[in-house]
This record gives sequence, C-alpha cells and structure tokens, in this order.
Amino acid sequence: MVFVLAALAYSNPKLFDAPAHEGGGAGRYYTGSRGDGYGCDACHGGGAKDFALEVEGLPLGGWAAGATYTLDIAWSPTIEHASVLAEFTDGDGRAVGSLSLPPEDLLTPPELCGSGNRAAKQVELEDERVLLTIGDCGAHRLRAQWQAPDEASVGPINLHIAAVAGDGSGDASGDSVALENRELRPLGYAEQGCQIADTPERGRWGLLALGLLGLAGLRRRSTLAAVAVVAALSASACVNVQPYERGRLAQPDMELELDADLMAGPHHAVEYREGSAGALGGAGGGCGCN
Amino acid sequence: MRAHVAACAAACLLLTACASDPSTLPAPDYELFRSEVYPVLLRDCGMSNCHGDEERFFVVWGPGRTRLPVDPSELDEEDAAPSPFDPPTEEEMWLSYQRARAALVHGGEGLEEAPLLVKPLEGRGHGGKDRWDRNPWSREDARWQLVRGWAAGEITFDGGPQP
Repeated sequence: MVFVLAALAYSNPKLFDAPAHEGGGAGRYYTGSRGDGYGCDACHGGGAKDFALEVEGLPLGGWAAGATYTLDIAWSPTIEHASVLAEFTDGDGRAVGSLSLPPEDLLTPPELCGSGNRAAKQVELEDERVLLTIGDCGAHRLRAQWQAPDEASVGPINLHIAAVAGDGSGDASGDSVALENRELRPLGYAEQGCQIADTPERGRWGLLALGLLGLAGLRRRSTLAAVAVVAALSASACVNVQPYERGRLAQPDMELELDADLMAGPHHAVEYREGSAGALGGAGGGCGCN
Repeated sequence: MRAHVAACAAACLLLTACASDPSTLPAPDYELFRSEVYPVLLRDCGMSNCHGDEERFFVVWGPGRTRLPVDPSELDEEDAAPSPFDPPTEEEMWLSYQRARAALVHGGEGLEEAPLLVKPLEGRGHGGKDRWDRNPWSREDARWQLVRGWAAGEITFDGGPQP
C-alpha cells in the first residue's frame, strides 16, 4: 500500500518564515500582495465549500489621514481548522499606516485559541511588511486597529486577506481558500482628471505650443497653427488631480484664454442668446469639492 | 546529378539533426544543488498547484510541499509515519535534482534558453504568474543568478568560482 504525503496547512505562522527545506515558506506568506505575489491558492484548494469571511470596519467611503479604524474579520465557528493572514500595503507592497492588536482585557472569546491564549499575532518582516496572522488554533475572529497614514498623498492602499479553511486531512487538497484584495482610497480621491500635462517639461512644451497657436492666429499662418495644434496635443496628458491640487488650478493665471477682456463681448452674446450663464471654461473648485 | 545528391544529403542531414543529444544531459554539481539550489526551487516553484504537482515535467518534492509517496512496508516497525515537515528524503532530493537537470536540456540555443532558466523570466510563456501577472524571477534576481551559475558550472559547492 502506498500513501501520499502532501503539503500541510501552515498551522503555525512561524512556518511562513522558516527555511523552505524545513517545510517553511522562506519568507513567503502567500497573502497575494505585491510584496508576495502568490496567494494561498498556490497550494491549497479543492474544498467543497466556500470559505466566507465577514470583514467589517473598513473605511469603504474613503480613509481620512491619521484616522484610526478597527478591522474586524470573522468566520463561522463551525470551521474547525482556519488560518488567516492580513496586511495593509501601498502600491509597492510595503506596509502603510500602523497596526495594533487589542489589549488582552478587551479580547473576546472568538479571538482566543482553544488554549485560552490570544490567537492573533503581528509579524514585522524585513522587507517593510507588517502582517496580522492567526494560525489554526480554534479562533474565529481577528480584530486590529489600523491607523491611516498622515498623508492622503499615499493614494489608494490595499488590504489583502488570505485565509485557508483546512479539511483536517493534513494535506493541501480539499481545503477552501479565501483571498481578498480590497482597495481603500483616501477621502476625496479623484479617479482621473485632466490637466495640461503630467510633467513640468511637457507642461512647458504645452505652453509653448499654445503660444505658437496664438501667434499663428494673429498672423493667420495655417502651417504654424497646424504644428502648434499637433504639439499641443502631444504635450497634453491626463493625470490624477487631487483635491488639494485644485487650488492651484483655480488661480487666475491658470486661465487658458489668452485675452479675457477680448472674449467678454462674445461670452455676453452667448449668455444673452442661450438664456444661461457660465460653463465657459472658468476655473474653480479650489475648496476641493466639485 | 552529383550536386543534387549532395544537396539532398545535406537537406536530410539537416532534417534529421537532433537538437539535443541525450549524451549532453547537463550534470551540474549535486552537492551545490542540495545546499543552495534545492531550497530556492522548493520555495519559488514547489507549491502544490505549481511544480509540486506530480503531473508536471519539472517537479520539486519536499517538506511543507508535495512529498514523495512512501511505502509503509519499507518502514521499520519502530519508525513512525513521516511528518509532512520532516527533512527531505534522499529520494526526494535526488529525484528533484534529476528533474531539474532534465529541465536544463536545450536545443542548442545556449544554456540560458533551457526551460529551467528561461521560463521563470518575464515574457517567456510561463503559466505560473503571480496574482499581479508577474513571473517569479528576472535576470537580475539573485535566485535566478544562483540557478544559472549552478547550471553553468560557474560556482561550486563552497561558493567559489569553478577552477
């Protein structure tokens, strides 16, 4: 009779850091973050049931700089063997913000192992990653406080959660996997806006092209105008405009119109004809609202 | 007529030329494989759904991953069934080495075109991309350079250059 030994779920978080030839992850935690790449589904899978996680406390409407949020992950007590990992990362996979576990006296029974000890551990890795881990010990809740970074300019961050519900067979087959990547954006984050250029160099070229365009208009040189239009188009680009950048766009010198006094007459005529005013390219939104 | 025969013979020779001669199966240093290369391959390739899958051509067996089948009749009475985290057996190490050297066979384009070295790199048709669509290694990666140096016989067990 031949039997097969296959991979055992990493029931002890220390195993993730142990050398590979000792059965460890050699630094891989399989959270699926940019710092890791692979998720726990690289080994585990084939479970008959979905592993449902209830995740609460996230600032889904946007996180405020420096604010503290309570991450609360829970799963069914009927799952006997579960391991859960979580980490907050920036776009490069590094830890962002700061994490802290609840004090002992505030722990609830689901956060304890069968032995009565705290289940959750916080692991700080050398490559600027900080993880929350729960091994297979009978717990079915993970809580932690996450303090958002002081600067909203960090941009969107990711919460990665990787979880395995083992079937108790001791191998990686027949296990259910939950892998989540939730993007959390700072308050007021604008997906995409448009401005004249995405770099100062391109901006200068764009302004030069606009100058050429004005000159061509004055001298009625169609070739020059065509060159200027092409140059202006190639110099422009769409970039994200953050709320705190809109003050600059609202300043008078950001007006695209070369001679506002000259255009006042035509604008007045349009307003009279249409019976409405505005929407003629005026800058605004300096307060950060729309 | 003689020219035609010569051309046909040349064409036949070209058509029958074997890209990889079995006699050129690479035999890089086994001791270096055991100590340095095997842990790297086990870490980055040997996941159960990747090259820990015994259906694959290139497989790495080992602790915490897929283990070789064990015949209980070969165990002594006092031996307990091995744990999934027990050190790699000699069979696992040797078989992983054999699969690795088989993956070093190439069609004459150069060692760096061998599957073991080229497939983990970007843009080379490797199915096992990570969740961010990245391949495990780049040419600058120290792990890839270790495997390449081992395969090319440029480094020896003590870490020094090949004499």
